[in-house]
Amino acid sequence: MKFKSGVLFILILISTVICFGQAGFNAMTDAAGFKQKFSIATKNTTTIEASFIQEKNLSVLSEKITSKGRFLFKKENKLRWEYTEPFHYLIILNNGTMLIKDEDKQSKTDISSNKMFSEINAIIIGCVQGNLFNDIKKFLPSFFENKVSYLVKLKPIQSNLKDYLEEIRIFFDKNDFTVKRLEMQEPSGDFTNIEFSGTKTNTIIPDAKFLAP
Amino acid sequence: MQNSLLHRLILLIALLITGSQWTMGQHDDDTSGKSIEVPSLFDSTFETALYKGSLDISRHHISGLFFIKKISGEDVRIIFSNELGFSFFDLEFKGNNFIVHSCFPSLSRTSLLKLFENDFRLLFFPDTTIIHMKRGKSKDPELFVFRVKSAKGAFRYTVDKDSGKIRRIQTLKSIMGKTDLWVYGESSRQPQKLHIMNSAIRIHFKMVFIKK
Repeated sequence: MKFKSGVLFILILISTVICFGQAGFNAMTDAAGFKQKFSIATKNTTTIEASFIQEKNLSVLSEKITSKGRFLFKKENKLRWEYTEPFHYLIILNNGTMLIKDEDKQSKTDISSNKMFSEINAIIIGCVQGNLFNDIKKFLPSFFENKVSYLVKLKPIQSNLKDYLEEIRIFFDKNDFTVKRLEMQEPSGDFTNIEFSGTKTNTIIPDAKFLAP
Repeated sequence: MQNSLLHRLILLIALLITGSQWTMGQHDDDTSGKSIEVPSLFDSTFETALYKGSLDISRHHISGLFFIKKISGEDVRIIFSNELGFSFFDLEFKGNNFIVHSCFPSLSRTSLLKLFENDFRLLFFPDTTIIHMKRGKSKDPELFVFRVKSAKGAFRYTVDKDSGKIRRIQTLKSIMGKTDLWVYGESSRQPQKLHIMNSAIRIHFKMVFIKK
């Protein structure tokens, strides 16, 4: 009996170590090198397209709100964020203008006129272009890695950002530096997880994709 | 000139008289002294619902998702977040208490939150303090209109004749601004479409049910 429980304990210990070894992140040994490589990779990236699954986790309620969609980015600052499930909703950011198509309604906003949109726009574009962690006035970055991914955690410095954002976690693929996952932690404990899949870079995306449909 | 004034006065009196006349036919039209139970907009089996919707305050428009959950017993929590997941507010109705778990800074004003509380109470909790209810005239033959007096104020309820479901609740007298709550769509569990208007500072909540 003692032998059995001892084996069980060792097995649990081994599996725990393996699990943590796979998922756990250690502080990056060469953050400067990462930034340099990342900068080169993003300079060479002109377009990105991917599918995404977004999950808003309501911590207290143990509930998730899941939505799915398609994401397109074209340098310098054209972005198409399209939700297809459970509702149709389209956000297009194109050179300082935000277009929203909500079912049949369409509206255009000057991003700079809306603080929150402006911040969200900067965060999304910054994450995609990877220069968000260079914005030392707004975020305090910390760098981590495991075998397959780089993780950059960004803590907001400015109080207006701190009000609705606790931390942003960006997970990059170690091979091509594309964003695999984005986690936005709110002060309430709720967080939104956006998982990207089928990412393609440098494909031809027509400009019309970033205009009103 | 005098004739014109006289005509206007007669017209006004006529309007006041017709407006305050109540059709009294059935014995249950006047419910004085009786215990009145108002049907709930959310069925007793209701647990959670996700609504797509928007909030308009004055000239500001915010769109997103409303997640409503019955916590335990009668306690309800409502979370409104934008499409990208950032929460605008997270409110809880726990008994008589109103708990603000989180609120976006530009919305976090005591008076505004009080309006939200009043409007959502009207939506989630049937009035159990009704003192008097009287049936009034309805322009639509499919609907009943009731003028209701309760400890919470004076209201007008518009009720579907066939299903007995509430279609509209209007506050008639309130220092917190008049709320006009519209309910659309047939569903046993929860309303399919909602529109809550508050005249105080032109608040519009619009919600369309997506899923459980």
